[in-house]
Amino acid sequence: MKIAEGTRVRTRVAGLGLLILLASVAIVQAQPNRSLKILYAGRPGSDREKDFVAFLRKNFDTVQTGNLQTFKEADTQGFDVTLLDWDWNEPRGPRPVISESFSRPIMTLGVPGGLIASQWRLKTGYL
Amino acid sequence: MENAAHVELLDHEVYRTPLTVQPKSECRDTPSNYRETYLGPGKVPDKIKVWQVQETQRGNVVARSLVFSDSPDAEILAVGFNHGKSYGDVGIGRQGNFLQWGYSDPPSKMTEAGRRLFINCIHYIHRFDGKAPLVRRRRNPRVDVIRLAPIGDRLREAAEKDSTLTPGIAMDILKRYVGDPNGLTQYGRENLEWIYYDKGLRVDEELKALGLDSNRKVETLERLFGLLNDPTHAATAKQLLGRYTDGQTTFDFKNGRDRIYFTDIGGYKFMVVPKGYLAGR
Repeated sequence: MKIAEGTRVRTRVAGLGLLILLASVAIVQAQPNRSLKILYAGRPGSDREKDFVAFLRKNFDTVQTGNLQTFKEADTQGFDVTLLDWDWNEPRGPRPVISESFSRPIMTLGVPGGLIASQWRLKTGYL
Repeated sequence: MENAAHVELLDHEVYRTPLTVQPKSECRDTPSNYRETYLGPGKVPDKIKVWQVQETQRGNVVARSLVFSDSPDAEILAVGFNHGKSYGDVGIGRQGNFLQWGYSDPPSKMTEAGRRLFINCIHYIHRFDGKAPLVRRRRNPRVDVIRLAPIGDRLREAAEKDSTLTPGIAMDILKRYVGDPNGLTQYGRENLEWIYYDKGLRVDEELKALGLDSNRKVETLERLFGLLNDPTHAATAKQLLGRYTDGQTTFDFKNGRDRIYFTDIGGYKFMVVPKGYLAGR
């Protein structure tokens, strides 16, 4: 009988341990990788740039800004992901030129992003 | 596009990793344009279940959904709720190393779910470093024969006035259906599997005459290579292989069959996914 109770206690402790382990794994998985280096190339000095950069800096340790007007492929060197943006839904924004072999991770945003993707003949381009 | 996305893709990993995105769903009246563009199954419902991504209703953009399944380098991450384009058009999509976020509000005006998805998208596209797109948009998809049929006469008239314009559908086909948009639609519907591009979209009569039921099946490509050994059809097969390949003379039908794909928008060609390209998705 004593042996059975001891086994139950050990089982409960082991079960609790497993729960804690699973919970910690879940917590670990829920954390974004803050070490990703982010370049935000938009319209320098705009409220929109400030809004994005403030948000990005809450989530990533390295966030730098660039200018979409002068953006070129080489600007992405040293960054893990580059965001291309301009003013809110300004359709007359800059259209950077890149080669078809360019393969660094890029996120294009909003109307300017859709138009840039169209110029690059991507499926993600604006209709 | 409005400020919301459809709910049907919420099982994609981009909604789970690294942050859990828990959008609040709501039902909105079905836009009238959905009734014209919904391809089924069944009828479009009266309400569409969506989740709000951001505050602002206007000033957002979608990409065309029909082309996303055309090559294995692209995927839809969020269907955009829209009043101006088609049912299923893309609010957030990826092709190769490029991810387009079609919503226009900055983070301060996104919902919490929108902000979390935005962070996840940054992490997600990072995984595609080195994976340049496999195809670029060079041609219209074949379904455009049907989509453009109602304005076929206008396209023809415009191209007759300005020879630099390309009307999408081949001029000789448009001239065959003057004043008959329904006939042109039927032509497209009945021949969709043989549509290709030669000075505009048209049916591949040579391929159809060979008794092959589609120009985009790997079986067709394999059959064309087989016909090179048939003196009766070798010349036609050679011509068609020139039409549907970039000059590649061998394909690995035994061990690399699943890497062969056909792209409309990339030029109506069979192509091969490079080894390792799809790893890690």
